[in-house]
Amino acid sequence: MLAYRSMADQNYSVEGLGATPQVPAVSIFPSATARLNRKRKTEFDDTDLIERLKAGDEEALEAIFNRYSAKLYNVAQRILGEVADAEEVIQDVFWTAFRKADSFRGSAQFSTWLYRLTVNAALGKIRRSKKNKETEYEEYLPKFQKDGHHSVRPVVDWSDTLDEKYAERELQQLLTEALEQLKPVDKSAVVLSDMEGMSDKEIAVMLGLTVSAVKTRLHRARLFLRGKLAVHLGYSAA
Amino acid sequence: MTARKAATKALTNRTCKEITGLIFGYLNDTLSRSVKRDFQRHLRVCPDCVNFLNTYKKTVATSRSLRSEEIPANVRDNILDFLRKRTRKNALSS
Repeated sequence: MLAYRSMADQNYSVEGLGATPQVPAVSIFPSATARLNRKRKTEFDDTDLIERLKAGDEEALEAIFNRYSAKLYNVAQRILGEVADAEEVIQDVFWTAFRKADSFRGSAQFSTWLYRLTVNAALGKIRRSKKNKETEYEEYLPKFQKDGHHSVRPVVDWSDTLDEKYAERELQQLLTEALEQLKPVDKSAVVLSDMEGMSDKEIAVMLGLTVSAVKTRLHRARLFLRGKLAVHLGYSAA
Repeated sequence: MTARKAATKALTNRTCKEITGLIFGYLNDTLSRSVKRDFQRHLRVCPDCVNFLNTYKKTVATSRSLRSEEIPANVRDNILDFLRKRTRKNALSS
């Protein structure tokens, strides 16, 4: 059993987050709208459970755990990389949700509140552990000549080669390893955006960043991941 | 304008470095109409940027396809056990 550490002194309010997440007009993620609709339906179903949770109903906590633990565990595990750490964080998150349910004021979605608890707890754990090894991005980012052209030409299109060369499982492992080398906040942004399908605005609220900062971090993280894949395939990251 | 001149203009209007910086906005469709036009013009004459864009998109698609980490049964049981004990203790003390 893992030791419980209080998160009571932290502020988990998500006031200010718009009720309707931003959805890009044209998205490279075609299922974003479907996911959003499912999320809204679940949110509607949560209302009764939240009220019961506020009243200290243990069964409501278990129902909420059954509904969200898989998603939240994935986020924690992706950010932390260790099963034991993710377990501790998820345990902490649901216990905090039970004790601090009153602080959920309903201006944001309940799931957003839980995600925020999870991301904050995971990032806090990394900060405390001081064992995070950050890779310098520079080596894997594109390089340009003084006139703004790519410094290594031609740039090779290896997008099809990736699937030809690696089995799906190998490719997943390759990207997971690259993902682990991202800075914790950047990794969180990639997980929340690419894996959880959240909007830049939602991510900004969760990470305490501006929307513009989220976009910049996501772009740099993707450039880094692209560079890692390129180098792995034997090409220049540039 | 000759084809060669048009190609040169498209390349000089926006450099490859600028185009790379615009990819995020292009994929999310948040570029202004004129910037998007510059972006697309550049791509028409710059195979390096087309290839770069394709590999960037492939990276995002691969990232999107990562399977969720499933919560192991023993981890799930441990957490539920912890929560049940805590809530019971909480109920007794209040």
